[in-house]
Amino acid sequence: MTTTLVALLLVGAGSLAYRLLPLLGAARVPDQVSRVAGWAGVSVLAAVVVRGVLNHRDDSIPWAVPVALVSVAVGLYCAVRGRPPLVVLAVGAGTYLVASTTLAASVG
Amino acid sequence: MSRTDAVATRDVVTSGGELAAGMRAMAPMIVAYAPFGLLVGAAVAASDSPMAAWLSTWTIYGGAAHLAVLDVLQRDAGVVGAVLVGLLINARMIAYSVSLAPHWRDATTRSRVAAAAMLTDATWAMAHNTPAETPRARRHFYFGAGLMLWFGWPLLVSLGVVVGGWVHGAPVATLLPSLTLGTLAIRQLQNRPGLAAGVAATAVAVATIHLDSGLALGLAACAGAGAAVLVNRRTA
Repeated sequence: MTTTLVALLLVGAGSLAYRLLPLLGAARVPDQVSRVAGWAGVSVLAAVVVRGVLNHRDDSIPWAVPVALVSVAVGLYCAVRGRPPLVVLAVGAGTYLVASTTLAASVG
Repeated sequence: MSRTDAVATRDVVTSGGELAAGMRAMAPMIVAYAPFGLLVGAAVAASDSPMAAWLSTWTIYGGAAHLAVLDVLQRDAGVVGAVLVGLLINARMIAYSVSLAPHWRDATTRSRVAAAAMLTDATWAMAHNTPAETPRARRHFYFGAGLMLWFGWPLLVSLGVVVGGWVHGAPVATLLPSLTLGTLAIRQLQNRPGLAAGVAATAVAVATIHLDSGLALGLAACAGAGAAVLVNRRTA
């Protein structure tokens, strides 16, 4: 229990410091550095999405990762077309449900 | 006027209702984050110190890091391992905070502390995506979006403590965060440096899929930022 408490406190304090220190020193952050950090942030978001898809697990169907990949691609295509986030979610999740149900039926 | 221009113009935050606009923009994200919040809540409930795990929802304020720390602790890997994993995964917050810094230069210290407490993937991406008439309007929009998530996320985690287990039976639910963050990321890939960053980060993410999440995200950030700088220099 102490281990959990100490670990959570340290990660919490560190995470707060990550967020707080650059903003407190905002006057000293050059615009160019801030711009590069923005690109790093975009890169992280892209990587989080890719990892989320490639690590997707669904024991009920074969080819869970390709199905997830296609579903997210279809959803994000809607995002590119300017659709609102809830539509993107509905299309992506709907594609996954249809594809996984079809696959499960064809295998079963 | 192109479609992109039309969307950008429609999305420009006006000085009147920035706070409300931020809240409205974040509301769909709360829905999208629901399954993830429930998953984190289930992990909090399974922790050997549920109250501390629940309270750290506000300090760690990142589902992936929170989940990873609890998972490492559950496997008895020790404090050092858990702390390293959590801090590595949340290191992306440095990039987010640094990139927002210019908009907060003339803000009060209290505002900056509050902004830092609310900073996470969704709030950063929204603040980064949404054009505003003035830095003040941008900050108000940020606070609207940030407050919505500041209350919404812990609520989802709390709900997950009670009913989080069902998410394990609905694999589609675990795809929703990818769709949500993808929606936010897509809008930032519409210029050449942003696109270069996205392509490089995607390639690195595929190549490092078997690596630890924090390390892989760090490598993707470096590769993406490097590619964007190169493309920006060529096009400048």
